[in-house]
Amino acid sequence: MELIEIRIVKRAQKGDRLAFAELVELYKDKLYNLAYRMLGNPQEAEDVAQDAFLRAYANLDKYNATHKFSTWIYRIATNLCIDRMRKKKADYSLDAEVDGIEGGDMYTRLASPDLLPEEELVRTETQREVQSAIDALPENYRAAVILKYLHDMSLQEIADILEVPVSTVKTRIHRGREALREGLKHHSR
Amino acid sequence: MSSQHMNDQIHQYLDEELSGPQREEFEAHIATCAECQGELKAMGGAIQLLTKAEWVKAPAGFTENLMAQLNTMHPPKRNWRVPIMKYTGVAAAVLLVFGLGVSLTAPSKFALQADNTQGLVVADNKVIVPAGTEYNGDITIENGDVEVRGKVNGNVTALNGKVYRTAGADISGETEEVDQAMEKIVFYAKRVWNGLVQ
Repeated sequence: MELIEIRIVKRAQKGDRLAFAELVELYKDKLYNLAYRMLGNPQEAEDVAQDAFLRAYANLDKYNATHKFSTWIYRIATNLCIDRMRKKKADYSLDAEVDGIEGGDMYTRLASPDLLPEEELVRTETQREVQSAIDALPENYRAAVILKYLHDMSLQEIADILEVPVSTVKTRIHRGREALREGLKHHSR
Repeated sequence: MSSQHMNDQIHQYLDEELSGPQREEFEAHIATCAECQGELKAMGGAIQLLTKAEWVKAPAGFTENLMAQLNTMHPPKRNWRVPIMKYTGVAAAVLLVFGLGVSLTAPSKFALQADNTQGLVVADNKVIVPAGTEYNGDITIENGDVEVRGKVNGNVTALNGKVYRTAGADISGETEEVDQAMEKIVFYAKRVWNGLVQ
């Protein structure tokens, strides 16, 4: 971990809110992106990312510098995402319609205003394809695949975040790749 | 080659875990096997699609919203246990060393241990065996010197002190000067030990 970051964490641990705000600035995009990809929904992603930081703040005293701060905060966010996914799965049969509406919202939010309509359409199509491929991944594999391919993390870092052995991470990524390939097969048909 | 075997190899290839010769063998197989080629392409395509994922960023006002929520929260608990744990060891070590030092240097009083004091002259921090006298037994003096002018039929020991002999002095036993605190412990331990053995 960078020395500067260690200092910011220490200041935050002493109760310096500005230091904590600096940490939020450093990690907000990472955690938001992770939650967005895990849950496939901007509103939920924002909720979970905010919740992750609130929990990190409340538990700052439990963080010790023997681990990387990024590992610690990613772990909090990943666990919250997994909890949310399980809860969603349980609720899914009850309000499938609401989920459908939220899904629509996601695509409209994705569109960036400064692109030409044609480019925007192509880009949105690819992005829709990416997210639906991720959404189709079993939850066990999803975090490992997202952390590796979207967050460029090493197998060791992923293992530390998920608190599983490196060999397990490897298996999850292999299975995840196979599931993605299967998903694309059906998609192209 | 069985398909499961090849499946593992495809993953290892994608993870760049195959050694040079293994990779060559794998690539040679891929070149001739349409099925494996299709598998590799499909898997590679899946990864490629993932890398096209847009890096979505946290919405505007994310940090402000969060900090506003934090202001309604109690400040986080300070963990006092950690510093205490951290310094207990140091405090104990300091106390130990300091305490040990005190206990070792505390009896800085002059003390004489002898089988009998008859015939000995005790001066200021000094024990003298006068010339022409004969002392039977051991003499141990703590924090003081021994000056032997006569004869001692026994051992003479000075703890934190010196044993002086003038001309004509005669000590039949051993002469020992123990200065170091640790040596003092050893000395007493030895004495206790000898006492036990005898």
